[in-house]
Amino acid sequence: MSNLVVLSVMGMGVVAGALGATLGLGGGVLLVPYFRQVLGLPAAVASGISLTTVIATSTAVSAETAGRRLINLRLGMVLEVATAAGGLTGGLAAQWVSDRALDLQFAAVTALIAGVILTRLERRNIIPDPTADPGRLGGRFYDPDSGSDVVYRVRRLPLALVASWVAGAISGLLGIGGGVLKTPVLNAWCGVPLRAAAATSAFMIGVTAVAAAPIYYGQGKIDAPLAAAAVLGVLAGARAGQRLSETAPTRRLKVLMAAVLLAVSAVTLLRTW
Amino acid sequence: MVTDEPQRPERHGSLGPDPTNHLPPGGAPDPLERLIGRVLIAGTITATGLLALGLACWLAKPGGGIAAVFLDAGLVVLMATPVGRVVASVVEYARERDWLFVAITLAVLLVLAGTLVTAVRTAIGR
Repeated sequence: MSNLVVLSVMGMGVVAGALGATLGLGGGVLLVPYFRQVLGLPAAVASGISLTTVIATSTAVSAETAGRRLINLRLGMVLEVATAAGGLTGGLAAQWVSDRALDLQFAAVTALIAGVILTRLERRNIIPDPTADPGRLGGRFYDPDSGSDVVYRVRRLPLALVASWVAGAISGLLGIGGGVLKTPVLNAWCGVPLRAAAATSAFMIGVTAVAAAPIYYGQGKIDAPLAAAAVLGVLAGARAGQRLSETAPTRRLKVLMAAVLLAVSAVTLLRTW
Repeated sequence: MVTDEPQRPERHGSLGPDPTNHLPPGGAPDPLERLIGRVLIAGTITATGLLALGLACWLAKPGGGIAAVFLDAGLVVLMATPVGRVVASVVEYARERDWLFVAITLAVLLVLAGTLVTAVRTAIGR
């Protein structure tokens, strides 16, 4: 592995991290196709390295949001049981699935994510009602946009558990964070406001990835210099992205990201078929 | 560094929670949230430091032994950090005598223990 390849991975990490932090995606969905389609690494190596960046992003982003009461810790802990079990299942299953099958699944999931992004361009879903009772799993946080407290209850917990398990299994199998699948479920179906859903999801994906990453590490699939380059790049990019996310034209970026993901999906599909 | 940034009290650029700067009307800071924040910051700083050191050594001398030690240490700390914050949650919920959440966080740890056992067994069998 030449120094040039390592540095290119770091550069790709910066781009993936910045876009990820701006749009609430992990960087993995862009890193995995770079490893697979550009560098030609085996699927397990691509997933393993990508999972380390998922852990790093989750940890760094949650370190930043902790203390703002945006992360719903209780809901996160409950759903982590399901998402970690899913991650472990995915990590185990990845040993038995061929690279070709993994690529086809990746193509399907990126197309799905693009669809999710495109159908949710305008979502805000903030209901300020400081007097509501959040219940045992609900939450309360201050929303600077509306300038008031937001209180919410969690609905349809079993659905959230199933979605977390599925997102965890996809994460463990394909090396992506899966937050882009969890956040809409929490938001649209379980009554969690978007900012809290995104923060809680970002908090959970670290544990999801940790349920799978050590299996790849134990198999020697995590190339250490490439993983270090990817992690450092993604973290640098995520810091820049967090600053950008307050002023960035999010709607246009979302359309751009969906277009990139559809292209990634098409290229993966064409090269695998 | 941005120096001409307008003053915005809702936001802080430093890594991690700043209890004096950000006390939203949403309520007092939760001790567990602050504990988790500290674990995550310590893990991020240690892991990125080790990985940066290891990568610098590796770029200077590819395949060097010292580089490998730093890189592996960094990856292990990185993977241990989310586990550490689950452990911290178990301890804090136990201190608050919230036994339901002690059980829930222990269940998460149980799954992660399953991962660890699988990983060690494949590493030995390799």
